Amino acid sequence: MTSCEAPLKKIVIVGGGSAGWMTAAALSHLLDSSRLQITLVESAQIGTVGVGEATLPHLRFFNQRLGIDEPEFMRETQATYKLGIEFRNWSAPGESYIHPFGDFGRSMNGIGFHHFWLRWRKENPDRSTEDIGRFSLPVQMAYGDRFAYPDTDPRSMLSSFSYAYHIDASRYARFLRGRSEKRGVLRIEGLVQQVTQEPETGHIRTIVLDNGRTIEGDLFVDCSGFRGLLIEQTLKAGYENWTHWLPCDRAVAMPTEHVAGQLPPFTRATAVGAGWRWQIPLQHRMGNGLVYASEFLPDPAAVEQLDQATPAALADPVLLRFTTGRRKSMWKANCVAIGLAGGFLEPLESTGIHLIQLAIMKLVELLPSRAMEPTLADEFNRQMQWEIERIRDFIILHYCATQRTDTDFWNHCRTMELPDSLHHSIDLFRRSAEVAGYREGLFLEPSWIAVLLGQKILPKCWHPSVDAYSGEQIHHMLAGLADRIGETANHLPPHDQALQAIHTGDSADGWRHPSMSLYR
Amino acid sequence: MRSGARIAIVGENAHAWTAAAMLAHALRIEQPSIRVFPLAEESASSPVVSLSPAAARHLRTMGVEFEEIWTKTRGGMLIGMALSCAGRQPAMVSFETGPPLLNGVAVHHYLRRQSEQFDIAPFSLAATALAEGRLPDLGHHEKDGMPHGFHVHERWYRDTMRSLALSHGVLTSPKPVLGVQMATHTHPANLQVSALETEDQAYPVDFVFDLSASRLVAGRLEKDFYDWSSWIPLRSRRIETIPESGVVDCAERWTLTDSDLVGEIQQAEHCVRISYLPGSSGTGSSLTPGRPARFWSGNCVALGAAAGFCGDWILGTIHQVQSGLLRWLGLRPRSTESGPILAAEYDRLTGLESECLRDLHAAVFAAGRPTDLPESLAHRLSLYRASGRIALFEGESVAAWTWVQVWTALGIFPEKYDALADRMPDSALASELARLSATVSQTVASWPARTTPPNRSDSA
Repeated sequence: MTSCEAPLKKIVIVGGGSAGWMTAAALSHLLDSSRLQITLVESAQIGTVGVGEATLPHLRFFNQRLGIDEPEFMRETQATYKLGIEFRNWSAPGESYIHPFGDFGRSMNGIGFHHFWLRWRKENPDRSTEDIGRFSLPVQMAYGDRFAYPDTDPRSMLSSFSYAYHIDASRYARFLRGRSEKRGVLRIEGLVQQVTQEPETGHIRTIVLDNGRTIEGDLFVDCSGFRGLLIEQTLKAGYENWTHWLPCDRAVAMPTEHVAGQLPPFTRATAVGAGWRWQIPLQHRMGNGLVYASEFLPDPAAVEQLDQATPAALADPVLLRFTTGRRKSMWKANCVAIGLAGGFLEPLESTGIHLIQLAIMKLVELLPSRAMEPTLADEFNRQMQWEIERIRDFIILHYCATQRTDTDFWNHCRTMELPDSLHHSIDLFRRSAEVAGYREGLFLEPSWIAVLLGQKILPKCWHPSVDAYSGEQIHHMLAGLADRIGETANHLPPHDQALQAIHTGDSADGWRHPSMSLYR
Repeated sequence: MRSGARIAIVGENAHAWTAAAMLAHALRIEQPSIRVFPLAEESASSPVVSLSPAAARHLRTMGVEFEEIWTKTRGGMLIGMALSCAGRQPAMVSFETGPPLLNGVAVHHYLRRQSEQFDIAPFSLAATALAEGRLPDLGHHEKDGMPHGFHVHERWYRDTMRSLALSHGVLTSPKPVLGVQMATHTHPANLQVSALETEDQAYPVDFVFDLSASRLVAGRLEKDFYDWSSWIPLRSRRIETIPESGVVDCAERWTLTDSDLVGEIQQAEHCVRISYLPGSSGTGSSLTPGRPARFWSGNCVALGAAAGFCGDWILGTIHQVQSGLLRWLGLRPRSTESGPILAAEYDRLTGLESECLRDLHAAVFAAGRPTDLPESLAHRLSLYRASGRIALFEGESVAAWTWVQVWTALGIFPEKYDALADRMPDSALASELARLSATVSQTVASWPARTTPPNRSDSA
């Protein structure tokens, strides 16, 4: 018995890298590989783009679905733990905040904690410069270079956060390649030279490689990167360009040696004149890069800027070009675009690997038969479009909610027109302290609060129910909570000690309880 | 809402008193002045009110315990709806969230793997309970995993809500509201109501909740209405009360024929029969399925009948009133300048909920009229048919399992199932399914027979 009368027999993945090998690993593990031939075509002549070395907590769930143990994964990918992202100089030079994988404080009688914080801050002028991160355990852990696994007991303060990893994406791809090949995935070296299509349906029938080999498939997964070899060059799915909202279109990456004693459990994103610079700590090196808008910063100047900011380089800088946006149909005919072939939102919130994972899981859920039911493609495209647009709004927020006036780039970002949905979200928060209510999507209320407040959108009002409490009551509650969070964080082990445990086999098994939430 | 703010509630039916009680309870610290205004002509209401589990739970947060609903409102336990469409055998649409996933895959995919047309009843506590004539004791439902609500006498329910509201200081107008005074000097895009007029007095108001079918106040502020009658082809409702045998049924029974949709709710003294008809009815009230373009306009929120009509044959309507009020309580104005943006957010969220409920209630007509469906419902149907998947939309307020139950009741089955369901060997699958259904059977068998309402000395 199979799920349909004409089940898929041949899936062809075009392109290796993170997207290709994550897809191969997941399909070979989750689907019945005895009935399905999965082939991955890649060429050593085409370099891969590590679409992000910083990840989100959902990757833990993905790994678990694939039967991957965390200690092995971390050793293989030289991973470190990640509790959030520190944003420096975004709202204004000298300002910083952390967007943590966790909530702030605790809601009281159904009223979000930030409403109480807003009133407390207003009524205590000496607190006006204090950030809400004081009431977040992962923020305090991050600043203190601490790490421990979350507790599954909801009564524990340690249940109030989640965690992800910083990984070497190339090593992750190699790791998954090994697992995939063991499960029967056929890897073929070659460059795609020609694509043949069914004349009536336009479905892709075969790809022909530079060595003359022809590969047939029922379903093709395009992991060929920005160029979209199948989804765009063959099927002309179209691309929705978002450069007017996300103007950065270049990245230059360069690994460096560690600075002794610096292994923070968070990603650092530092805003600079025409974009931002990332720092991602791995066990064996530090990942660095500069994301920028070429309209405001020429490529040579960008390379020089990164070079000056990052001494002790381990390799030459690598320049990447991209256009922010999304493929209008990530699934068209019998081709599904995953990874950069499906769209790119720039790496600011580490969503690259997450979107790969999401697309893979949706493909598995909606796996078509050889008939390629159009309604399945519609559902896949509907869900992916919705997810990507929500993430897009959240990323634009970082750029537009700035008070920077020091460069043309930031003046452009501060004054650009926004998507209606984002305009509504910002206006709602500014006027009422309410976060637009979305139940689904990656970044929910805690993330929006972190960035809105972190970027100094500070509402002057709060929920009316907060006024039922006296100023003293609120002060007592908040001061006590901040103390408990600080004490808890200070008693946790240092991050580097937690990393050593991976190698010594002393790692606790807290990693065995992943969730699909960003926050716990 | 500042202390002393004047809130008006227009209407005096069960919905209106639910709103009054909820607001008075939620705002008991702020203590606004809440006044209920009767209508000159209140539209006919059903003598029975259906409380979904969510609605019943919310009453509990207001201090009305299940036992109190059970006794004071002379209610019966409500475990779901037995839906019969196009001559098919009745099938249960319960409040359950469905059997546990097997290896991450919903059970109906495995059932489809075994058979093109499958029966989900053996995996439903509610369906099995209905068939076996058993019910859990009140208070045991949570332990046993079968959520339930109540169907209660409208008059008793309304009186209970009224007592609760009055105990929190809610006032009533002795005379019905006849007219509306609009505030002057307001922008045309943000009209405001300044007072409600009765025969002999004008009551100044700061905020109004309109629960009237005539949209007495809301209609002055928002005239645009989205008509859904092509998707929910019902134009009138007739309510009859029929003497019955004294057995309280635990499920509403709805039957869709070519000419009407009829629901029967059997209570101790009588059976209430609600007939929805595609044309006008000589004796019933007329209906226009649809929703207003804006639910919150100026200083007025439309709730209940004033917020439109999309059906009540699966989830009832009290929870929609509660849901709207909870949303408003979260978004209630905090300054003059915050009003319009909070109203926009309220409308966005309420619109999503309303369209989801529209799809659910319109679905019963979908089997016979597949070409005339809202786009979202057409996609839900198409996706389910093609893959067994449930398409969920932003703001979805209906559980995936509810959709599976509705499609099954309509005789709609998937052509394909989740490929992950193929990973389980045949023998293991048979054993897992047998285990699940045996658990359901054993649980139901441990419940008492429901020939009389259990645990209630005051049998209605």
